[in-house]
Amino acid sequence: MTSSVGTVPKPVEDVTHKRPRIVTNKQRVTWVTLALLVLVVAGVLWGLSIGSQQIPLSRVPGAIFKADQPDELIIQSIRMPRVVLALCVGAALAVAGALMQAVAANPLAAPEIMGVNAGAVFVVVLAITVVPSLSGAPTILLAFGGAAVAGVSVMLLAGSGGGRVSPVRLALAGVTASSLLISLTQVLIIFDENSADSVLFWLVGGVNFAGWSDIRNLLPWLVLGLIGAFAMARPLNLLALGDDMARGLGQNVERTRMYGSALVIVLCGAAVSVAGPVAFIGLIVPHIIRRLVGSSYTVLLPLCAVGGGVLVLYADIASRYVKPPFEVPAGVVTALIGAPIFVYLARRQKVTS
Amino acid sequence: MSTAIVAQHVRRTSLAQRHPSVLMGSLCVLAVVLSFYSLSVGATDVSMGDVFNAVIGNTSDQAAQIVVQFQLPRVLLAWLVGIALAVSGSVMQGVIRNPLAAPDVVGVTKGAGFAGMLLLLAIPGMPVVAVVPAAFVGGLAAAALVYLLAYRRGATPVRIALVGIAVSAAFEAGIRFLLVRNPLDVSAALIWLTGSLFGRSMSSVLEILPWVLVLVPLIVIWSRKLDVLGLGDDLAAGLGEPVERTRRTLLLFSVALAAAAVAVSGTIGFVGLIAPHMARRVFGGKHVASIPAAALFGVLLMLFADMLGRGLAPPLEIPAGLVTAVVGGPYFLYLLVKTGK
Amino acid sequence: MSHSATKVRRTVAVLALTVAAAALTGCGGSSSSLATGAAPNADRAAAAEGVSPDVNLDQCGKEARTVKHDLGSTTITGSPTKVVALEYSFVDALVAVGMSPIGVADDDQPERIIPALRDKVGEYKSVGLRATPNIQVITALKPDLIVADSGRHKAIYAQLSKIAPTIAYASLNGNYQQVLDSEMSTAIALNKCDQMKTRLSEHAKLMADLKAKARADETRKALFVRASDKGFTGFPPKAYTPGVLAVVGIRSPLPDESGDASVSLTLETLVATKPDVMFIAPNDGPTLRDTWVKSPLWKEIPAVKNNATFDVNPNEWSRSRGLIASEVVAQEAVKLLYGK
Repeated sequence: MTSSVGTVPKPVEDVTHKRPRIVTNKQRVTWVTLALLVLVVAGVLWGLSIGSQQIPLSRVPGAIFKADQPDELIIQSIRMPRVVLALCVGAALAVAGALMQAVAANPLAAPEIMGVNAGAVFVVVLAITVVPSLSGAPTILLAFGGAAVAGVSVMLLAGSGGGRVSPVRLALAGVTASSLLISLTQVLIIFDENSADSVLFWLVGGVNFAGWSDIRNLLPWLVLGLIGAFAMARPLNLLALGDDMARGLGQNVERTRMYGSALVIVLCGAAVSVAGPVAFIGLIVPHIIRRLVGSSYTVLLPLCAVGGGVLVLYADIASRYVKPPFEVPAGVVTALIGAPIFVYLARRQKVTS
Repeated sequence: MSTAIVAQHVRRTSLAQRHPSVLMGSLCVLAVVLSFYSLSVGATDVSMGDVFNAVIGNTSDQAAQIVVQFQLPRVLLAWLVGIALAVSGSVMQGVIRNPLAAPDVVGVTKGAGFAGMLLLLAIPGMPVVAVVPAAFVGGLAAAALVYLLAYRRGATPVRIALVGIAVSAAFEAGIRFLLVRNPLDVSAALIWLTGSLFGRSMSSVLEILPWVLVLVPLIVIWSRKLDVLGLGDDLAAGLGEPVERTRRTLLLFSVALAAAAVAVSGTIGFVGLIAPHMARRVFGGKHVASIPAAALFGVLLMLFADMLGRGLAPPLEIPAGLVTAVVGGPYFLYLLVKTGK
Repeated sequence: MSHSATKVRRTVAVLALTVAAAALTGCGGSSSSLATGAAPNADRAAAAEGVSPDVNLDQCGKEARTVKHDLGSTTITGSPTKVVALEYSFVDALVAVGMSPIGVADDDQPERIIPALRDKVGEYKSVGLRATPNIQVITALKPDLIVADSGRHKAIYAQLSKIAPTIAYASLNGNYQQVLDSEMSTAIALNKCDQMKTRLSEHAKLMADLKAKARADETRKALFVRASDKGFTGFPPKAYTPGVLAVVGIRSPLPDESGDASVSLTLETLVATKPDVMFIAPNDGPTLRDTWVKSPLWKEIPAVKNNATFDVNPNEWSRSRGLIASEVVAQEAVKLLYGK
């Protein structure tokens, strides 16, 4: 790793913290952006071309706008929404992860570790169990509620409210909350004995059955969340300098945290209610992007959005090869990839105690 | 972390701390009474008197005998699992120096769960008896993995906790993968994973008994070492304690207890988290008192959870693991917010 | 301890029953069993239609019958009258020989028992979820036979055996042949061999009649699926429902090689499967089918184009796997496809 790239702010247990170097190398940013865009395009084409029917790529351009023939219909109404949803969900979760890490000032903060995803899932499953006819837009609002309550509880549990909380405390609090919510969800599902598919979807997450309606439900919140996040890039950069420093520079630290948290809830809640709790995106994508281009949020956030999309897209593609020719939720692949990376990150944490 | 707690509790000398044995004795009596009550509760009610007679073998009343034959192993298991989880949690919190630490943190629960699932699902013809030892070994192996990965010229509590969470997540991913590949068995698998005392027999009791009988007294004997470790690595070393070795051994004990508990009853959460807290609040931070107390609180929690699970909506049975999660989770939140960490 | 008293009592009861039964059989009827050894047994063995050869029919008519099942073998003496069934398919077996269970694991939802069985089942006590039946309730019922699922109840088999002789078969993951075999074996355990054999013959005849009503050269492929809010599950040819349909000549379009008991389908895979007929068993509430019907691709499915998409009841077609249930399925299928 060349020294011209910004480094990950080193987390410490004690109160004094070091000021991170936020230096970004313009060239690197350009290269990474290009690489990611290439990956997106390649991924989209790949995603559009695989499936149980053999459809040559040459049909794709025609299918984008008009769809008369069955194979064009397949591309337009099944594969395209799936690819687009994968990109959207990935973007939402990755940006939410980056935001969370900024707000909690904690490199291990991520929606699933903080119980935010588990909260959203639990509330949605509860709602569907109680009112089976519920679907679509109202569930997203419920998901927000669940995500919010879980997130707030975890923050309380960890004892924050004034600045940095040690990664350990936050992680442990999040795990506690998550495991509670997940076991509640599991039991709701067991007692309903409905079908294994629902169980797997709500436990693992995936974009297998994506439709344009899902995208329509998600899009407004995604756009709101992303725009809000990008607008917060400068304040977040200031926040990373430390509370006192930021306040000294005239920033309202509490308000920044609040907006950041609200955006996390919006992005996670919406993504989870539409695609289930796809694991680890919010944790690993920000870390990888940070290692590549440094930690300036003006650059980090957009690249996270693209990077997250790429990851979920490729995970979905890979999931087709797990049990061919039949489907497996993409969340399984992200979990299998993400877990070892999480272990690696946890080991790397330089904590002085 | 626990230095602060110790200091805080030493200042408040409560009744409990002045006469710990009295209070502990009464808790014990309460647990025994609750056990008998638990034996009498369920889908068919049997009076406490009949239960008592049946236990001492002094009756030919068939209903009571049946109750004893099937409920007794569950009650005994509630005792043993409660003790195992609570003591394991106490030790873990003392070693990691964090009140939020629980056996799950070092990957035991998920490791055991994964190993059990692997056997149950991937090898269909496997006899059920093999699952318990497999889960036990899985739990130990996971903890060993966490320790190894966290080791870098010593394994600091913080690293252990962080790596533990990550390794748990990895095993969780493995469990989900297994579930996805075996969708028809999902309900049964989830029920086992949630943790319950359903259908357990005397053989389960015998599987966990030796671990509890051997390790718990050992841990109580070592309780002063735990106190010393709680002062911080440097101070402890200064007091002549071989920190790394003691920590490793204590963790091993804690993990073995937790693995045994998970292997026989599935993953019952929050007992290992709450019982030590309750014990410390009432009896203070010195482990020689708080560990036996935690054990008793663990027993009470398990008995309560099992009873509630069986008695709430017969003939349906709510898994004990769910009851502990539903009751324990919010209570734990309340505790933490109240004591402010 | 206190068990030994129960054990003694039970042994005495069994001995008494055996003596009584022996006395009764001595009095009349089954003189054929005293005649030449092998031939009548061979007759008996040949008389169970549609059942696999490894079902030990030679145990029929014996006082102490050793029944083989998935978790071992159990010896049952006398004629059990108080039976607890831990899956819907075992209720089916009981009703087929004119008996009714005293306890059923019905997930606390008695409406899941199909109409064809419900009237004949009468009063029973629910013993809880199929996944976690309440052992205390089962014990209190004092059954003399328990029929369990060899997958779900493997872990509690030992405990169940202590309450009453327990036989276990694959119900949840069982296919049509296994269902027939398990019903015959259950009948052997119940000492109702002849009734079951008669019933099996009736069954074979009914299925043959239904097959005759079907087209002899039926080339249409029919897909059976269960639709839920997050899944559309198809069943390959070897699974239970497609197995039943195959008996009346209706084949499944899914490939035979998939060793899984079920496969998750997306709209694309469904279209690629090109079923000519679809039998859809929907869960309550909104399902994926409701979303998919809006797609133009849905209309490309041959079954939709031919107006051959039928909604069926999941309890009858999937949950209650059994002899009687399979007749319900076959009858409905033939009626829907051929209007007969």
